[in-house]
Amino acid sequence: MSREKLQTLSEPMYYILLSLLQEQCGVDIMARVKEISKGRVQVGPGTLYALLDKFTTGGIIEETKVEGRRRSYIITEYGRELLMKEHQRLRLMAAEGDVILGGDKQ
Amino acid sequence: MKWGNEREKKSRPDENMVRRIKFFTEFDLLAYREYLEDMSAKGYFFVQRCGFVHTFLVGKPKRRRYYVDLFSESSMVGGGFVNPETAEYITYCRECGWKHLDTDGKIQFFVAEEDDATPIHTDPQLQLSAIRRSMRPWIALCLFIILLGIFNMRNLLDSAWPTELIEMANGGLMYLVAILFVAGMMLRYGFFSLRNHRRAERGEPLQFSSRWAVRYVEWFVLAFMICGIVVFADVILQSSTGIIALMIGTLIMTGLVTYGIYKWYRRREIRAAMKASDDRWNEIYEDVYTQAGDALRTATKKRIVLFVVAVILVVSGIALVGTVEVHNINDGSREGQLEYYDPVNDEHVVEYVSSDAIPLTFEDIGVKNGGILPERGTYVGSDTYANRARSLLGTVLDCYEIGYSDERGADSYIGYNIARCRFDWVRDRVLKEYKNDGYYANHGEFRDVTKEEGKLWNADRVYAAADDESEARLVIRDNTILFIENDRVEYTEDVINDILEALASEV
Repeated sequence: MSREKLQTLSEPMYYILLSLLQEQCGVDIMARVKEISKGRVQVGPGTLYALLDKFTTGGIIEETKVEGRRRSYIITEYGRELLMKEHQRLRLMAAEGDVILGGDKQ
Repeated sequence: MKWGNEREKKSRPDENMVRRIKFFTEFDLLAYREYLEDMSAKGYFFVQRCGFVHTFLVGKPKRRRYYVDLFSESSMVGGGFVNPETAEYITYCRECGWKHLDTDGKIQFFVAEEDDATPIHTDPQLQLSAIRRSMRPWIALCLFIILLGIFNMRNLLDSAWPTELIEMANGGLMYLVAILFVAGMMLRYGFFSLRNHRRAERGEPLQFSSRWAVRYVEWFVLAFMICGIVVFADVILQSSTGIIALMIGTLIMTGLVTYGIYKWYRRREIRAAMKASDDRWNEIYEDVYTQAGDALRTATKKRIVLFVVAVILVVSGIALVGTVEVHNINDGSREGQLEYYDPVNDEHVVEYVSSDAIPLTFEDIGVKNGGILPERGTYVGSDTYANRARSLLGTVLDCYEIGYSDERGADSYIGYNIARCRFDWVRDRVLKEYKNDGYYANHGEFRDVTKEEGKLWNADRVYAAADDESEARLVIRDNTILFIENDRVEYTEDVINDILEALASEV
C-alpha cells in the first residue's frame, strides 16, 4: 500500500500503532489494543496480519526479531510521525467539536 | 454400546468419512460458515476440502463455530517449506481461539476452540479487499471470454451464423454455456461489491448472501457444469473435433495432472511443516471421534489413487479419440459441394466443402475408410454449418446407389440407396434429407407405415410415399437407412422378400 493511502488511520490502525510504540509480537499487539481501548476495540487475527503486512511494506513499522513462528515489530520514525499527526488531527477534531457541541472544557 | 464397537471393528476407517460436493464462491463466506455449522450440528465435522469435494468426519452431533477466511495461496509454500508469514497468520488465529483445519487454494478453514473467540476479521474494508483480490482470476476469465466473443464478432453478426441451438457448432454451444455461467457469477459479484462498498467505508459488517440464497446458486452452478460436461462429451463422442481438440484436451489434462501433483505435494509439505501428526484430527475433534487420524490417512491415499487413475483414463481416452480422428481425416478426407445464393454480392456461389472444415468425419456419416466415394455431393442452401454437413451427407446418399432391374421387364426397375451411420443423430439427419430432398419428394409426402410393413421389412421404422408411376420406401433398421423406389407395385410379403434377397446379393 502506498504511503499516501495511510495518511489517515482507521481505528484499528491507530491502536495497533499505539501499541507498537513498544516492541511487541502479533499476539501481544491484540492483547495490548484491547487493554488500551479497555476492551472497546478488538483486532481480529486476520485484520492484524493484513495491517502488519501493510505497515511493514509502507515503512511504518519494522520487524525486530523472529522467535519460532512469532515475529516482533516496532514502530519506525516515519510511523511515529504519522501517528503523531493522526493524534493531532483527532485532538483538533475533538476540540472543534467541543466548541460546537460543548465538552468538558466549556 | 457393544454393537457400536463391533460395528467399528468391521467397518473400514474411511467409511467414517462422508463427502459432499458444494459450490461456494469467495463472496459467500458467511453461507459457507453456516453450512459447516449446520453440518456439525448434524454430526458431520469438516475435515478438508479438495476442489468442490468436502470431507466430513461422522460423530456425535455438536454445535461448533467455524470461520472461512481468504489468505493468499502464494505464501502457503515457499522454497519447499511453509512460509513463515502463513505460520504467523495461523498462530495469530490460534492465539485468538481458532484452530486451523485445512487450506484449499486461498480458502482457509478454522474451527473455534473457545466460545468467545474474536472474529478473524474485524475490519470490513480489509475483508472486502481480500475478497476483491481473490476475485481477480474470475474477472480475468470473464474478460477472456468477452474478448473471445469480440474476436468472433464477425461470425456472430454474420447472417449465416446458426440461430438455432441444434445448428450451432459445439464451439458455439460451449461459448454460450461459458458466457452465461461467467455472466451469472459476475452479476452476483457485482451486486455484492456494490452493496458492500459503502458499508465497508462506514465500518459496518459486510452483508453476505444468506445460506438459502446460496443454495439456489448451487443449483445454477451445478446445471451449468452439467451442461458444460455434456457439450464437451458431445464434442468428443461425435469426433467432431480434430487436432485442435486433441491439443486443448492434452493441455487441460497436463494442467490437471500438474495441479494434482502440486496439490498433493503442497498438502504433504504443509502438514509436515506444521508438524501435523496422525492424531491431528483426534486433537481437534477428540470429543466427537477417536479414529479420525486413520480414517483421514486412508481416505487421502484412496483419493490420490482414484485421482491418478481417473487422469490416466481420461488422457488415454482423449489421446485415443484424437488419434482415430486424425487418422480418418488424413485417410478419408473428401469434398462436398455446397451451392448457395450470396445476397451481399448478388451471386450464385458454388463452394467445395472439405470434411476437415466441418464438425463431421466420414466415419461419423457411415463411410468406412477406403470406401468408394464419388468426388462430391451437392446440397443447395444457405452457408451454414448444418448445410455444409448436409452437402457431405449428400455424398453418402450417392455413394451406394446401384441401378437394378428386376426380372419383370426392361421397363421396371428397383433403385435403392443405403446410408449407414454410426450415430442416431446423423442417421436422422440423413432421413430428413431424404424426406425433404426435391428428387425423392417427387413421390409425394412420406407417411409412417411401420405398423403395416415394419415386420415384413424386419425394420424399426418404415415410411412410404407414392405417386402415379412409382412407389418409394424408407426403411430404417438400427443405424441403416434403406431407400427403395420402384414401379408402382404393392409391397406384399413376397415382393419384399424378393427385394431383400436381391439387395443381399448386391451389397
